[in-house]
Amino acid sequence: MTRPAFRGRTRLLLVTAGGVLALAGCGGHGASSSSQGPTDSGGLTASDRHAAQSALDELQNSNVALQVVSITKWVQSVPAACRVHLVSRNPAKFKVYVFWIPWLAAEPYAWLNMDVTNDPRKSTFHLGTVEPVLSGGRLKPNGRAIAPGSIDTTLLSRYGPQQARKSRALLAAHADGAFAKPGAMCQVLQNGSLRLLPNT
Amino acid sequence: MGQQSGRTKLAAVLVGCALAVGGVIAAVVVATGGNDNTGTTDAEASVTLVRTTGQWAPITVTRPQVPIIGGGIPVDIDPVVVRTDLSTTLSLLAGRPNSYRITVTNTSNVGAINSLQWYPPTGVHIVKVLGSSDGHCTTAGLTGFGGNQFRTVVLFPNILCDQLDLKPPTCTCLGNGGSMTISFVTDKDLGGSLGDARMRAATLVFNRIPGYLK
Repeated sequence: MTRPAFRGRTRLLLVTAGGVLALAGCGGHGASSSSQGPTDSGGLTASDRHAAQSALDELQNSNVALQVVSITKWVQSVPAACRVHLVSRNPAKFKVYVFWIPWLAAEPYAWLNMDVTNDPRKSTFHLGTVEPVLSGGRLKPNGRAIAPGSIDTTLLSRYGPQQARKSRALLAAHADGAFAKPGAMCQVLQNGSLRLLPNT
Repeated sequence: MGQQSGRTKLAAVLVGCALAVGGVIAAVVVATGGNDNTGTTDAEASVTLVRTTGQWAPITVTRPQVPIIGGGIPVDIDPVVVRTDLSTTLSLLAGRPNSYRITVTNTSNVGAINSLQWYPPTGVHIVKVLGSSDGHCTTAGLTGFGGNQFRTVVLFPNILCDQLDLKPPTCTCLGNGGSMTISFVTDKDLGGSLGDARMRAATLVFNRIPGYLK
């Protein structure tokens, strides 16, 4: 083997070794960034999802679960929105938002804003309600007066697209950032527990 | 030449070490990622699968059938749940016509009540709120229904109180929740009616409030 040929092979070996080491370095970097794991379309890692469900599970059999069921019966509608938003990973803290659109105009919109951690004593739960059409009676055909002695029991859906827009606006207005990423939708169960749904 | 052979061997050893280190790191990454992807053990996963029926099924509601005749609903549909979050007592303010004081007490199993609305009986309008023992109370209602001709028309007149902190009762059977008073003037006699007080906002307590004493 000639001297230049040997030098060429040595260089090739060194470059290969350097490349392999660089790749190994990339692998190490990947491990550190993937200590949280890959994220889904909602920006949550598997670890985040596990932490979120654990925090939601802490609410089982609590007054919160009772009230979630109670509100659903009250407004005769299942929640129109249920959303979990990751606020911080360490400590694990989630914003949970549930919003109900009532079936009847005599029933209120209702929403729960919750800051949930793994320690329920450090979690907070706020309930808000507002009347779609304030109580008192049914509007006369001219829309400017109330039929005396009547109670407004019209289905809210019969108020048309303007009321639907109002419903959507209220839902968004009280979310307090719950629809931001990272987060996922959730589902209210028969016993008032909340289940995190997969991001598609 | 022997020196060159030694360097070649050293380079080969270096490459081998680098490959080994890379392999170990890759194995760790794959193992960690695999664990994160599941997030639960097989046993936990099987429990999750089981818990999708009965109490663990998505919540549903049962609604009454609504007859629709000629595009209209010929019957009244009443809300099935009557809330008992607040109790109200009414007293007359001495020496003032159509002036009243209502005492509102938190009787809910929800938690502390932070905001409420009180509606007078139909046909009665609230002229003025004189004061309250807690929070901030003002007259409220829907405006705009009178158009430009009747700007002062207010539908559903009521008193809105917020910034409240009516503590929850220790038992809904005891009636020992927080209470407040609201004084106001109306345009006519209430006729003994208590009106209707409705919770608007509340802070839920974590533990359930019992409905009976053990």
